[in-house]
Amino acid sequence: MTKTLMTDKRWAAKYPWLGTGPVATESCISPDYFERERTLIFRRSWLNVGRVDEIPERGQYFVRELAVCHTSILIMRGKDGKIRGFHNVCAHRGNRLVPHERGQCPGKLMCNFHFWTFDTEGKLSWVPDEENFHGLDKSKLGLTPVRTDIWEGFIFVNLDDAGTESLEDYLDGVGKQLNGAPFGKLSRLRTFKVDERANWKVAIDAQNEIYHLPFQHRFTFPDAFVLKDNRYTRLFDVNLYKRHSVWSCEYNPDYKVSPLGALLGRLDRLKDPPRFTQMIGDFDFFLVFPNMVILLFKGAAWDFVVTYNFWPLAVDHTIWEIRYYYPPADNAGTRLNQEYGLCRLRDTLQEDAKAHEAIHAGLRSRAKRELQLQDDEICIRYFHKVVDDHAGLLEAAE
Amino acid sequence: MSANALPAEFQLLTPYLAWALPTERERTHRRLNASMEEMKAFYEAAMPQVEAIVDYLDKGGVQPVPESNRPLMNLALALVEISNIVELYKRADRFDGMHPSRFVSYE
Ligand code: FES
Ligand SMILES: [Fe+2]
Repeated sequence: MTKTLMTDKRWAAKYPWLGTGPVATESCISPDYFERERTLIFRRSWLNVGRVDEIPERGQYFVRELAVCHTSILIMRGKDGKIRGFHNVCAHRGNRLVPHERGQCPGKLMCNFHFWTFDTEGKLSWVPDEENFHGLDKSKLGLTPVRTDIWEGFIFVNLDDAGTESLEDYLDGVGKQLNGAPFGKLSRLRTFKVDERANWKVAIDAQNEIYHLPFQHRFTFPDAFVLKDNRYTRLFDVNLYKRHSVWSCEYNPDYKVSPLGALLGRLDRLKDPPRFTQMIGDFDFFLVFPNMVILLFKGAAWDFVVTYNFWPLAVDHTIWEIRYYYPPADNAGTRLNQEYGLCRLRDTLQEDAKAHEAIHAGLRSRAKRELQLQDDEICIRYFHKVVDDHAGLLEAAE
Repeated sequence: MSANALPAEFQLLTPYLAWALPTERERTHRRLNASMEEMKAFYEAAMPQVEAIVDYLDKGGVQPVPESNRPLMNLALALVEISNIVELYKRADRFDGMHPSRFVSYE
């Protein structure tokens, strides 16, 4: 028996201050607005750049290109075991220090221009021909640190050196809801990177509602979640936090899995399956402002997580990263069942990605200058309000 | 048994061995270049074997899958890859999404 209420317009009643009017779209296509987002949102927010399990060993590092912040970030686990973030920029003449994506530091990182050398804590340890410099103070020439913190294994950076808000305060209700969730019991099975011609908010918006499911995903997942009158989706719950939001659904009890899906479900015999008791519904969509999504799925035998990170390159250009985290499969049935779910969801996300570009092109035409949002699309409304609260309202351009 | 062969119990599936590809990228690529008839034939041959395949693979363990069992595991993963086409979409070209080659996958 499901608990989702089928009444209409519940969420506007829960959050009356948010209003119900249309939402302007100019902010999705304006290059000027994009520059404001760069400065006022991306350079001032906590941004998820990876997970601790990418660098489990001391001396391991990865590099994250943050084009939207005009920098490249080096995340490194020091010899002391601590994870730190730095601008990936050499202190001598500004060369990119680490030119590749990830690696294991043998104790030192060396710039390939003049071999200035840094230790795993970012300190400048060696300068070739140091005697020929004019009073060099090596102790002041370490790598430029970036505020870096970790929440439940997710590594975040914040490029605002003057900022004082801790990651914990920043995460607010998301942290409170998901603190202690067993993310660490899952491991990454697959990553997708999608280079798409769409504004980053257009891409997020297309994911940030369930209304489209029976329509756009009519072949892939039309009836996975509870429907009103077997036709239209209804959310189980919505929660708006200081900047973030979560909407939750319940599964449709009449949903019929395909023959292979049913068979693999029976053959899936995972020992000690992790459970995310912190979940609100059967499917929770947490939007961690500005550009991260944490999807939590309740499974028949075990729960799993998918994350999205949307990285803007330009006003109309975004990299959508998708990561699937599953409990490590200890038997073949579980492994195949995971691949089954992965492929099924992947196909719907490919439908979404096509829509991102089509929607962006539509908005770019300025034939319509507003989004019309129904009640279950409330998190889109809230997201745009939070963006506007940070970057400022935009007067409609000609 | 050669590196790219199926265990004796699964010789029936040998005609589909070309599907036994180690990465999703390769399996998807093959799916995109396969006809509906080819995928249906593979599905119909492999589906009745799934339970036996899982039992066989479990005997060798999957953390990691031993070298000798990899073709069988990869074949089973390819069955998963095509199953949505055969069971749900019913057409190889039904797809209304972004071209999968733009969905770059990393194992
Ligand atoms: S710029 Fe790095 S050593 Fe010269
Ligand atoms: Fe979707």
